Amino acid sequence: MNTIFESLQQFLQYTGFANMTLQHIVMIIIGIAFITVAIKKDWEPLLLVPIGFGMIIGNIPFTEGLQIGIYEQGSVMNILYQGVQKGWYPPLIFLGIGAMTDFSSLISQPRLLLIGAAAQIGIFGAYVVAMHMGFTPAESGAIGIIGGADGPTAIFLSSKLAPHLMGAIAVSAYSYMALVPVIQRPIMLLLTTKKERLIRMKTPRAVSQKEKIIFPIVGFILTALIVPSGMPLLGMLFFGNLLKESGVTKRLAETARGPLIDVVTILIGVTVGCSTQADVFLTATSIKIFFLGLMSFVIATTCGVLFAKFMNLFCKEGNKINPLIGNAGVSAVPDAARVSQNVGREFDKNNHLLMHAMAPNVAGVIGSAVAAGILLSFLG
Amino acid sequence: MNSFILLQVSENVVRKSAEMAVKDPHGAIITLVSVSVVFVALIVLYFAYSFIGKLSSGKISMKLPEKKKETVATGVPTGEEAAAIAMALDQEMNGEVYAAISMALHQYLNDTVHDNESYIITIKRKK
Repeated sequence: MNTIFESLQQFLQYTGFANMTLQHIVMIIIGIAFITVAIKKDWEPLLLVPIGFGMIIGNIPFTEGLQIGIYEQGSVMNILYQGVQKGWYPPLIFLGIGAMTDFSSLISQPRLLLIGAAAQIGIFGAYVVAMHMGFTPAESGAIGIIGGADGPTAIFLSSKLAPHLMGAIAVSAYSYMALVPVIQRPIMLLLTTKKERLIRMKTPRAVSQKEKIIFPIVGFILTALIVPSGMPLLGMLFFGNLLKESGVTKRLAETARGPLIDVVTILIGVTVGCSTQADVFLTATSIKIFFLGLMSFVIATTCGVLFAKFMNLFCKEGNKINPLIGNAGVSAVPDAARVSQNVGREFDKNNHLLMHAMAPNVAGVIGSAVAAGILLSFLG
Repeated sequence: MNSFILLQVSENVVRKSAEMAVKDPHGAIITLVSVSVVFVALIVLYFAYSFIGKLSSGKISMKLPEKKKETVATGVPTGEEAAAIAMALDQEMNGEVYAAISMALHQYLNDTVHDNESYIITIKRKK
């Protein structure tokens, strides 16, 4: 009888109930909140559902030594997490993004590339503030990249520069990407006049198939030669686009933008969520990272909108840029471009800005990969 | 649980980060250089795509050397040849053949302007 009682007591000590702490409960609640927001509000559901559930998985308390935790070497979750730690999930996601993105808008209006460049100032604004808040340069670089509004790039860079902060950085980046409409709209309205919001942009010219094929090859060679450290991301992005546009690799393009990106998104989402174990995640540092991430987003949006207004000083009448597409310089594709479209239509129902906003939006993807490459070459 | 944590920063990152902390404690230099490089990279792309776009839309043309011009010109019929072809066609062909040739030429010449469409033609019945 005693043995049964002792065994039962021993088993109870192994259960999650016995090891549960207040921090675990908080993290599980955050995970449920992510899932709820994704389902109810439809905010980045493809990312927030896996991350939210990953948070729940990662915060079920367990006894060490069973090789089940994400930070225990050799455990299943740890093996899946290698893709995040070693940084090979993000380039695979970029391959899929390249294979699903139509760059026609950018090819036909290359001047809008500059808005994508201006929005990257958010990354470096946050970098400077993070340095003053006591983070090391490597940590500051990893935190600043949240402003690029690009989850895979944030994971890629933080895995190299500050792997101990990766959970907080990834969750922060994806959370703010989901909140793009909430964060960007007031900034756009604050920085533009009613007259500017009504600007109608010229219809972009049609782009030939030949140009679409040349685009990824030239784009990759030029950007990779300038920033070789951004090669994994830029290479896969442009390669994916070449698969799409070449016209002879349809099967490969469909795999890249379909099953491959889906599988990697699931793995990256769950493992990043899982990495937010309460004892690692619930710290004052994470709160600082969330604050810096928000600031980075705000600076990026502000710089994008202001730069579009600045460009208008040099544009002839009839060739002006609607500054409402400036927010799309961050690389949250296509959410940021959708925000431009929706805000634009609030003031003129027949002014469709989506196709124009896609240009700075995809330029933002290239820009944030270039920025990550620069930071890596300085600090990695 | 922290004893199991495998999240380690590489030695190279620690060294470079420490160096940067001394050389650029406020982060101003790295910011200035990085923003400039991002702009340079995208400005280079801007010029490249603008050039390709102008080339493709025929706003600028690549001038070929004289010799090459001759070889290109051999594919184009001269005035006399064109007149002879036109007369031969006039004698041997009817209007439908002209229409087919015109359509084929139209589609061929417009190949650089339009993307490949889905090749689906919608035919509506006349009421």
